[in-house]
Amino acid sequence: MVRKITVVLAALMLLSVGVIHAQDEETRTVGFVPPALTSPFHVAMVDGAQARADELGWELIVQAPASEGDFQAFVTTVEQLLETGVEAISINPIGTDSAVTAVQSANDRGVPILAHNFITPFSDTSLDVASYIGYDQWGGAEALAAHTCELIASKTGEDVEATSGEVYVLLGIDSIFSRRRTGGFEAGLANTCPNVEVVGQQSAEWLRTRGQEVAGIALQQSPEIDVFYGNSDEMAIGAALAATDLGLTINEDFFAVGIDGNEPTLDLLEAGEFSATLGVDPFRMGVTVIDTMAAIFEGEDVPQIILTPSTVVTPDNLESYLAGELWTDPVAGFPECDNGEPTVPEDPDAEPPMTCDEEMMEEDMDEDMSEEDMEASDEG
Amino acid sequence: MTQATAPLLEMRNITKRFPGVLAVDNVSFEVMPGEVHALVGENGAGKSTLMKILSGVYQPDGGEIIFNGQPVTFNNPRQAQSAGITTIHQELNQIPMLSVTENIFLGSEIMRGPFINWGEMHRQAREQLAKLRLEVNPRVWVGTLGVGKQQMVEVAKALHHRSDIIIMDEPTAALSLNEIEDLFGIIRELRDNGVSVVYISHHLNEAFEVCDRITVLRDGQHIATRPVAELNMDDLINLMVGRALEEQMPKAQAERGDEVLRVAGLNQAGKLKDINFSAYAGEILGVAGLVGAGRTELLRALFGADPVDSGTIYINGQQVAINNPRDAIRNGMALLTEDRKSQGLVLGLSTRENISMSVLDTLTNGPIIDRGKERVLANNYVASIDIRISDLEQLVKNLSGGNQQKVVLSKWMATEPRILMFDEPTRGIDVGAKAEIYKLMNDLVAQGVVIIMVSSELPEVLNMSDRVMVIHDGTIAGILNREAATQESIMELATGSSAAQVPEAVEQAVKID
Amino acid sequence: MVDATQDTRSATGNQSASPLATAGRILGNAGPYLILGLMVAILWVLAPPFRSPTSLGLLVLEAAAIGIVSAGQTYVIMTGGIDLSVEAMVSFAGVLCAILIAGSNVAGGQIAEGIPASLAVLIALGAGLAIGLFQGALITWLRMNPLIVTLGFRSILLGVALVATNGAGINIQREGVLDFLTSNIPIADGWRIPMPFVVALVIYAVSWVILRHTRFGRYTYAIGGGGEEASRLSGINVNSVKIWIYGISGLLSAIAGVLVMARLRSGAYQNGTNMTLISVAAVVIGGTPLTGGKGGIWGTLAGVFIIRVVSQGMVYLRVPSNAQEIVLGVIIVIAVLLDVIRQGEVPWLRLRLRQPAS
Repeated sequence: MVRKITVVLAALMLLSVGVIHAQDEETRTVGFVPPALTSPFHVAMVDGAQARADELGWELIVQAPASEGDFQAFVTTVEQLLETGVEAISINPIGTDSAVTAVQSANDRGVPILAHNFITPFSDTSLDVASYIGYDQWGGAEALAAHTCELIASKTGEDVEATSGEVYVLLGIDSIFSRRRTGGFEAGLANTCPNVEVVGQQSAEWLRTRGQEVAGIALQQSPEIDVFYGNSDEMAIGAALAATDLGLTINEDFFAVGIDGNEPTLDLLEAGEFSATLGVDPFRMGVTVIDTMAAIFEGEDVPQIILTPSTVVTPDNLESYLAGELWTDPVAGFPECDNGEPTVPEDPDAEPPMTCDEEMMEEDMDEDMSEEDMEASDEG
Repeated sequence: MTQATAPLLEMRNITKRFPGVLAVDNVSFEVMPGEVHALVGENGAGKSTLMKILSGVYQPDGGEIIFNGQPVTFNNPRQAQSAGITTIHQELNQIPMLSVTENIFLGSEIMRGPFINWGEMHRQAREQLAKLRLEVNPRVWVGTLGVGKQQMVEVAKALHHRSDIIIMDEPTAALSLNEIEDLFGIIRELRDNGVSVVYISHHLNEAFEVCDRITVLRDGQHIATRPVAELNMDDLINLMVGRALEEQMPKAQAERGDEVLRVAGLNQAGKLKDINFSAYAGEILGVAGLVGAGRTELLRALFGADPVDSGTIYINGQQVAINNPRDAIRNGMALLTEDRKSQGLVLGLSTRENISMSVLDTLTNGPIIDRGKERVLANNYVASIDIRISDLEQLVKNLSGGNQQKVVLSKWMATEPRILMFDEPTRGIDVGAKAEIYKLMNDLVAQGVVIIMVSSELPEVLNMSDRVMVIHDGTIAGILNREAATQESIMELATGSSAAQVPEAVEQAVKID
Repeated sequence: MVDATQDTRSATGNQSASPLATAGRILGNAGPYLILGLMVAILWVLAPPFRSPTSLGLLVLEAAAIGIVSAGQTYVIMTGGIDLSVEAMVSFAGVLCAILIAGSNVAGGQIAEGIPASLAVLIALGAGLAIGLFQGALITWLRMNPLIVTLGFRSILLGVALVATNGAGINIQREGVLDFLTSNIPIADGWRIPMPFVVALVIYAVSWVILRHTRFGRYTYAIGGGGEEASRLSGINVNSVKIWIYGISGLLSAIAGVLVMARLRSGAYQNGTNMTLISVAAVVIGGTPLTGGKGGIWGTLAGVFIIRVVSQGMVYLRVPSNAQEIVLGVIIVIAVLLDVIRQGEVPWLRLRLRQPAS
């Protein structure tokens, strides 16, 4: 009995020491809200954030809606986390404007709010987002396209610039994500191997099953397809399976490339059953989010847009990618706008605006002339 | 009486055809202001059809309706109701989870702007209920009231619509004696206030008690309209059936054999109390009683369709366990339910498939049903009991009531039952088919089958039964021999009014130790 | 044309004897196949690539898994129930099977030592059957609403699949039975029958025998269409039939789950996406009403093919996928409308059909 009490007391003392110690280290409670935890990408990002938070001795609260696309649940989740008294929060909105209520709530409470895997500023400039952290989808897709050109050239035996070939694009459900990834890829093809032609594109709804179905049909229409490019790896994997089932050999008769670099993809890449993916290292992106929060707590200025690196991962550099050797430090970057233009301007001296407002206004011009007029008169 | 004045309502030469049936054949019918007019006739005589024409449910194929001196056409019940003709249906048309007030005002809510004026509605509802001396809080759900009070609420609703004519279809079917008395009081009061009532009832004595005139229909035709003072019960029955009862329903005498079924101490909470009786090979045991007395519940309990709380069933002296219909069928029982369409038949299946339903296990080769055997079985019954169909694949939903009943009967005869229970065997069946069903019942008892027959039609009970078991309030009020069973003795037992006065006629239920 | 006397006869009762009604019945039963034939013909003309043996092979391959799911759904809807858990079962069975084969629930493939594929498949099918039976037991013994029970299990099964995989598919190799299940049977020059479709055809044939020629099937028809109480009172063990119905649906969904998993080489929680809605639509398009009691298994197969042809046809014709939903919806509504007309349950539609001349 006496011994038991001693043990309990000892445990209590240890605990209190722990608490004091942690306070010295400035224990922080922060929130992290993915759009859902239904994809390995977001799971990996949470893992990264959790690992960094553990190192710092912070408490990381992760909450997510049950399914992506449930925008209302997303807002509710953010507001509930704010209610629990988190000191900073990072969110990954996917329906741009649906998240503004959540951002407003954070602003109202004076809680720093960050956006991760998302570098398209909200159109409402009165909102204060501490930092947008993510990779450049356009630029990444462009780099992947350049690699694709090399793959095609290796098959045809021609020069990269001169080679011709056929590419089929599997689109995600229509959104800024699918548009950026498609636009960047097409731009990359045009720059690197202008004779390569996009022979068709169809939505495969981000799904492997649909990618398989659509690719099967595509091969009936265009039997000479050299490359299947998926806005996500999953769709490209489906296409690779469909082509393989029709008797074609991957990396000889055709190639399959996509974006995300999740574990199932890397596994297939290692087995020689996939051609290339755009690795964006979600784990380290998660680490970056926590590091940025720490900088904000320290009172440092952080860039409005933080670009994390992306790398074309092939069987050759897979080891280095997994080891993190291809990771480069995040840099201050530019916003990604839904404008069919590269995220990082080609002219390195250019100073692009830090919001997407102007572009958005141009798109809205036809339907809303009066606002444009007002804006113009303001400027004048 | 108001004989001198002009009729409030005249239906002239009304004719209504349904596919294959002339439901109403050139019938004329009139109602005087402030008159209670009984409309009587057997099932299928055309009473309901005639009243549904009056209330706008059906449109007549011929004839005209003069109401308040004007020719009128009602395309739907709403039009009839707003003209002043309201029907109180046998099965109550109320919404149980709405309040009394809401039910009374359903479809004619009092509004204040876009909002319901609850205060005014409750006030008027209370007023209406008070007129009927009905002590009911207008705010309670109708479903929480007893059936009798629900019926009164229905009357209140009719009064609220300022009806000139209220059609009451079997209004006393579910009422207790006291409630019936109250209803009669209200009917008289309505009459004194100039409201006319068309009173449809199987209980002929009620017609004599509360009505001024009686119109008799038979087989869709108008037979007679007479003041009650000029009629007696025998005349009326003669008018209704058109021939002596014995002719219509021949009862073959079969030898009463051994005890086949013995029921001891059967109880079912709220439904059946201490049921004890026996039934013998070769007899038809009629079961009489008011609606809601527990007759159908008794058959269902015996058949294992509903669970019972206690009780023992012996068949041929052996105690049997019947927990579900399968057990009952295995023990040679069969039940022809009152509701053929939802409980007796699978309407979407063919005649063949319905007939073979309970004996499929005898018609299989391994797991596969032998269509040939199935057809032979079905054809056998189609021929032997004369089911009129175009072919075996005809869906039963397209058959007439009589043929449907024969299909159900075939299904059960295929199981070769020893105990055949009928619940309202001839409801909704035309006269010709009725006689055939009776003949089949006679044939079956001649083969030693026990038939237990629940029926609301007393003539049927009286003529077909060897003994009549009368159920009152979930208990056996008495069992009458054929000689002792009369309309009066049955009704006395059924209403629980004077069981003590007929002891010598009652063969007491067999007691089991 | 139908002459006047015959028309009168059909109006006065003996419906099934009238040539008009007989024609209507035949047309009604063949309806889904007529629609299917029409659509194939349209696509045949408009999309030359569709005519190749390979693309027809793809058509039947794509129809296989959803066809098997729809077969299970047909049993359930035939009794007047509905199974909303089928797509979750497809995913769940695939994930379970993949985890067993890979010996790991971590995305990234065969890390630990797994069990043989054939055993894993058997376990997955057994789980499908057992979970289906359990749902059936809840629905009958506890009198729970099938809509709610199967909706609940949809969430449970999807949730388990998600938790088990962390959202990432489990990659597997096509070995042993999985290799067999994804193979093709060459029949002639360029013509191959995909094995999943053979499996589907076998399931349809067996289902046809069960539904049309066994007691169990007869009872299935009897219970639907409002005949449940009549069936019970006829001595049919309704509960047992209904429990097995959900068991069959679970089993068939699990079979489809294994086929999808083998084909995608991945057990992922998205494998069954959209299958519930499509299976219900296929059943209804195929002529089995949601109230059950009539229709049949071959109609469902036609329904599946109608949906598949529309879906593939729109890819061939390069219809933007956002617009494909609209077309599918229109076809479902038209199919049900045809059924309503066929049944003659809407008076004003019936009048026009029965009295074309007057």
